[in-house]
Parts: sequence; C-alpha cells; structure tokens
Amino acid sequence: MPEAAVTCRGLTRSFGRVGVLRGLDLELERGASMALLGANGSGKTTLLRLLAGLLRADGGNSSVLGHQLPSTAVLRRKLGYLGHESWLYGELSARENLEFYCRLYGVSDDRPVDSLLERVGMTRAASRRVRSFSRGMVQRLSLARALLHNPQLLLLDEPFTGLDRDGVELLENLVAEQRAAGTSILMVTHDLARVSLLADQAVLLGRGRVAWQGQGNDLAPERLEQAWRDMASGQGGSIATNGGTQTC
Amino acid sequence: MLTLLARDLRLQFRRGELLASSFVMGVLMLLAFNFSLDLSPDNVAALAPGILWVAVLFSAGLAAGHGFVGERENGCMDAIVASPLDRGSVYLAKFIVNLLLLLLFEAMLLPVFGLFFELSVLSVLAPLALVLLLGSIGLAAVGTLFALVTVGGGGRDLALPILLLPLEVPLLIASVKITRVVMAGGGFPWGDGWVRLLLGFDLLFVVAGWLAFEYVATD
Repeated sequence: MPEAAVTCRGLTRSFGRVGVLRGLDLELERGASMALLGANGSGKTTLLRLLAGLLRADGGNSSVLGHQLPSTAVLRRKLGYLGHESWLYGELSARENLEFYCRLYGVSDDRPVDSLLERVGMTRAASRRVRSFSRGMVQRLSLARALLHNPQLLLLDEPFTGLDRDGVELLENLVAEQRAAGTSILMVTHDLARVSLLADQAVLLGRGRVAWQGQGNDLAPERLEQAWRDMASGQGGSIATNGGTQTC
Repeated sequence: MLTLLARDLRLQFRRGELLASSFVMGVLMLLAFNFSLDLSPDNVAALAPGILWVAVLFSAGLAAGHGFVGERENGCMDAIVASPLDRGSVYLAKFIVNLLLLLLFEAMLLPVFGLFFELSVLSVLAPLALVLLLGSIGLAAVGTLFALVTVGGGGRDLALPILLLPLEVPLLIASVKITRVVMAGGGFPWGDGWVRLLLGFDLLFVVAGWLAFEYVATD
C-alpha cells in the first residue's frame, strides 16, 4: 500500500494560550486533492504552514510524502506552497524572481521559467519589477513560483484571491493538470461552489479538529453548506462518508 | 547559500538606501560629537575611538534592521524558510551580507573620521582595519540573529535596538580599548584580554546564530 501524501495524528499547535489545532487527525492519499474548509481561525492556514515546515507542532505526529515532520531539506524540495503572501521580491522582475527560485530549489536550468511565464500569461511582463504588478498578476506569478520545481504536494491557501475571471479559469486548469499528473493537493478555500471541481474530498475544520469529511456526492455545494451550518449550530462532530454519516 | 548571498547583494545595491542612510547617520554622529565635545590635541586620541565605535554601533543597528528588508515584504522570509536551503546557511548568508555592508560603510566613514578629528588613520590602517573587522563580525552576527527575531513582529524598528544595544556593550568596550591602543601607534595588541573577549564574542554569536536560526525561523 503506497504511503499517504499527508498523515496527521493528534496534531496540536497553540499560539500563546490559544489552541488552534487540538488533536487534528487527517489523511490525504497520494495523488488525491483535498479541499480544507472552515471558518476563520479554525486552523486551516496553521495546518498548511505546519506541513510546509514554517511552523513546529506542539504535539502529535505528522508525516508528509513519507517524511516525518519537522521537515528536512529533502522534503521541502518536494513541496509547493501558495499562501496569503506572494513570496515574491518587489525589487526583482518576474523573470528574476522565478530564476531565483529555480536556483533555490536546485532546478538545474532556467527552462521552466519561460514556459511557466507563458503558461500563466506573464510573458509580456517578464522584465517588469513585481512591485508594479496588480494583485492578480502577483497571484499568477506566485502560482508559477509554486509550480516551478514540479512539487509532489501542492499546499494552496485561498489560491483564488485576487484573480479575475481568466485567472480563475487558469488556476482551475492548472489544478486539473496537476491532478492529472498525480500531484497531491491540499487546498484551503471558502468557495464551496468550486470544491467539487477542484477536489475529490473535502474536510471541514472546526475547533482545531476535523468536524466533517466527505467525498463524491458530499462535495455538492448544498451538502457542504449543510455540513457547515450543522457545525456552526453545534451539531458538528460527525464525519460524512460517501455512503452516509458517521458519528465521531 | 551563494544564491541567497548574490540575491541579497543585488537587492541591497539596487536599493542603495541602506548604505547611503548608514553613511549619512555615521557622518552626522561624528559631526555632532565633534561639535559637542571640547576636543583638543590632548584628549582627541582618548575620545576618538569611542566616538568612532558609537557611530559604527548605531549604524550597524540600522543596517541589521535593513538586512532583512527584502524578506519583510510579501512574506519572503517564509519562502526562504520553506525552501530546501539548509537553514544554518540562510543565517550565514545574511550574516555575510550584513558584514560586507558594514565593512563598506566603515571604509567610507574612516576618511571622514580622520578628517573631522585630524587623525592620521593611514599610518595605523592595517591594525585599525583588523579591529574594525573583528568588531564588525560580532555586530553583524548579533544584528543578523536579532533582526531575524524581529523580522515578522510589530514595532520591529523599535524592538531591534532595544534588544541589540545591551548585548553589544561588551563588544563596544573591547573594541574601543583595542582601537585606543592601535591609534596610539602600539600596533594590534594580540595578547590583550580585550582581543580575546572580542574573538570570543564573535565566535559565540556566529555559532549561536547558525544553530538557533532553525528554531527562531519556525516558531
């Protein structure tokens, strides 16, 4: 049986006295795409940052692509992360930014730079400094940055932020390509209508734990909304499977 | 590490503001001391080393804060931490950039210092350069580590000097004492206890920064 892309067991993390993750259990199979849903402060971003090696867990066990956390350089080379911030240097041009990340991730040549710039529609702006870009352009370039080194696991935190209609379509296509190529994807989103398009399973976080989990037909927007309402009204704590609902 | 080093140097020289602001601040401090102290040929040799190092110390604090300026925007510090780079190497790259900028600043400031205080720095240039190098290694090591601690925090421009200055007091005293010997024409006092203190300070903070980066960066 192949190793899971992500396995978390009893993961905890606090900031000061505020517990954000409180014994979270989660598993993402290799090549699968999972949408992480939940209210603000439910621990979605903290989870992604932990998996990316940007934070340390207070307790519990996690492994990513077969590597135990805390992360090693070997693991970090296999991860692509797109967060709330672009991770792009405003003083460098689009091309210089991508060339820098090529070297940082040990990509032996700069060939992916041109093809990715073209793929995200940024070829004409390649020589412009990033500080002059609009929010949408920055997000497109950030996507290219996250994909530059062909990651095996993509961690996407609200990736649709700032994108126009074409940008949204581009992102949907890129995610579809990555899924087809076997890349595992863990994506935070608030857009319930797109979950079924982008993911084959979804997890709803509440109070730092998995409050609901579904796949297949469960990913229909109305079902997700119902799960969200149930959790918000205090009826959470159940896990829905494709065939029904299972009480935790 | 070389990738990060090259990118940092390119960013710093493209901006240019760090070196310019440090230099202006250093010159203004020398000017202020020159006018505010009653300097005479009798006391200038005793006072000038302290003045030089206070100017270097405050400009180094300013430089340390700016050393992560590229990483402050757009969360780029996270990008470096999440990259496959060895995290100790990230500290070393930042430390080397800070050190190079500090040495460049000192090379620019030294002629102004000689001019303002009518001191012949050329005649003691080699030992003076050595003490400046040793002092700068310690300043860059401490500054880089604490700039990292404050890089993501609010009020960082205020927090950094408050954290830095108390730690740098031993380095300041040792550097001033050694510079005084050097400026008096006594050569570099290799066997002096202050030199050992300065070397120990440098070693301690370079190693501490290298080891601590992983924990500071991921919490």
